Amino acid sequence: MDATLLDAEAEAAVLRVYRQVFAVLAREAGAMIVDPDLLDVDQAILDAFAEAGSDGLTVEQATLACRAYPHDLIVRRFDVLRQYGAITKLVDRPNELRHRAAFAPYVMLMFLRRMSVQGGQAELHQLLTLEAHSVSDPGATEGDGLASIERLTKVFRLLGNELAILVSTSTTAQLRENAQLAWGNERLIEQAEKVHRIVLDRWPTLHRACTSLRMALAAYADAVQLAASRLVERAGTTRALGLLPIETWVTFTRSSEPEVLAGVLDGLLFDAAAPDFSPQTLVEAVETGCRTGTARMAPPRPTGDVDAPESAAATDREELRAEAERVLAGRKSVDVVEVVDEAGDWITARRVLAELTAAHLHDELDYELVWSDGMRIDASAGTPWATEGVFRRVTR
Amino acid sequence: MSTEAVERRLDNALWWAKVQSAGPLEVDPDTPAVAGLTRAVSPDGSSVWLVPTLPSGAGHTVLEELGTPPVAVEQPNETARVLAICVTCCWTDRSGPAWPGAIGTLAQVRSVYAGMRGRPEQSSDLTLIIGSLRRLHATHWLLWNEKAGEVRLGPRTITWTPTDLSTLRDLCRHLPDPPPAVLTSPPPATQDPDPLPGPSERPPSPDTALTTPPAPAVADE
Repeated sequence: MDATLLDAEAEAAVLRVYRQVFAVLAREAGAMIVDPDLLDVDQAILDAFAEAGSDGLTVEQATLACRAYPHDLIVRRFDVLRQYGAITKLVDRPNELRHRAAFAPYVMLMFLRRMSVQGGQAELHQLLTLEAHSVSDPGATEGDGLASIERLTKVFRLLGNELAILVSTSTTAQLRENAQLAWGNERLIEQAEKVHRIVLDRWPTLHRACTSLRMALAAYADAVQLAASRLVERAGTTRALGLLPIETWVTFTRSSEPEVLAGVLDGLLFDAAAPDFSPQTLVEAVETGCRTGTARMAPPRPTGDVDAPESAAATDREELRAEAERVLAGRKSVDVVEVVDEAGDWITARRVLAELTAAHLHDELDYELVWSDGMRIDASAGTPWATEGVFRRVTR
Repeated sequence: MSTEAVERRLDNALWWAKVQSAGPLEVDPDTPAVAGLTRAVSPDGSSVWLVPTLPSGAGHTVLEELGTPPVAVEQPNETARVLAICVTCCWTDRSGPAWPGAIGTLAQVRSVYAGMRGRPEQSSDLTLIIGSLRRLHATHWLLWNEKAGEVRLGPRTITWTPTDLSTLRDLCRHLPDPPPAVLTSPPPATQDPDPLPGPSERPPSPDTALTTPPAPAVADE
């Protein structure tokens, strides 16, 4: 390191301003502020200095000017501000009682206030306007453009990363609290693209840096989309609209005067209070209605079919009966040999025999097939060998 | 020019206030269109209903999201069932929108109700059905002509979206089919041109169903 004295001095100057700026954020020397009320105290002190003019203030005068706050609190903050260099002695000598305040901490306070209200979006807008202004300045060099683009790339990367991490890891409530990250993103991206366009038009050699800015912007846009869809999905359209918790709306409606409420509704059309029957309600109601029915639903039947269709078993039975009656042909009993011969060949005869057997075995049909010992042998018949027997009607 | 615009705004505001206090309004068909109000022309064209059009997502779901109880209705499930049955009976052309639909009869409603319950009709059913029909008529979901025993879909049904209608189509398939309507009053010209004539068919009258004189008996009692 070959730091010259000038470099060291420049660094010290930066550090001095840095310390002054952060004085308002310090609780004690070396610790961050945790209580936002202390910011008010700091502001009161700095206001008092602004009022005091070029003579400066002593500690006592400052506490007197800020008598709205406790005395020891003012003294403590005064010390902290002095340690950070936000308040310095008017002339640096041992017994100097008068102090003067630096302007940097007050600027910082203003920024803090605005950022606490708007989440830094307005500052970002202004920064973007400034960047656009500076890169379109005729005296700007390529180095300025590159620096500008790089700054914007980082800003949007940080924004996008923060949002993306919140989307993937945090609860909906946390996401809603940080929703200002997603606010006004269209305008922000638009402005950044304007800067990007100016830089790319002026210095086409910076296309590499511009590409990374484009990527950062796209990543931010994606993160906003994700965050918005998660909010909408989890919180419902209405709550995502204002990104406000439900209680806020309820409190507003309960505590507002009729005029205020009427003002909100001015220009809005709504329906008279009426029960809602959405198709989903109808479906649910019908479903529960069907379930609570005491009797079972009748099974679907073909329309116009008066007599109940017969079961397969009944059909079989009737077919068997018809066959048996055909074979008997009105007689009381019939010889099996006769039946076989009538049938002609064996293929037909065995089918007839199978049906007669089935009729015999059927417990609802009053027929029987009785085999006897004899056998008819006739080479000229269609079925040469036939066992003798009778098929007859029985009475039960 | 500007006075005209102011007048139109005042006119709008007046109509909106009327609709916001009373729900859908039946007006003369000559009434000029009002911004934000859907015109539901009744089937015979003799009148027009003005129904507030809400942006999608601004309906009753908002109340649910805000944890606010919806407008209470007596016997909500029974009422919803009867509305579903009336949709089955009155929405005869399922390929088109539900409004205006055909005229259904109490007999149809009772038959479908018994079919949905899956049991023979009970005497208590009629009480429930009539009560639900009256509630639905009061809130413009149905137009229920108690004297003629006839029912039509109300102007609110014009707000059903195509998605809603496809849900309802499934629902209608699920419910038993209604018997053919036996109307006691002559149907308007734009209705089904050949409805089955009822046993007590009346001579044609220019009145709409709503103003029909009392029918001798509820059809198919």
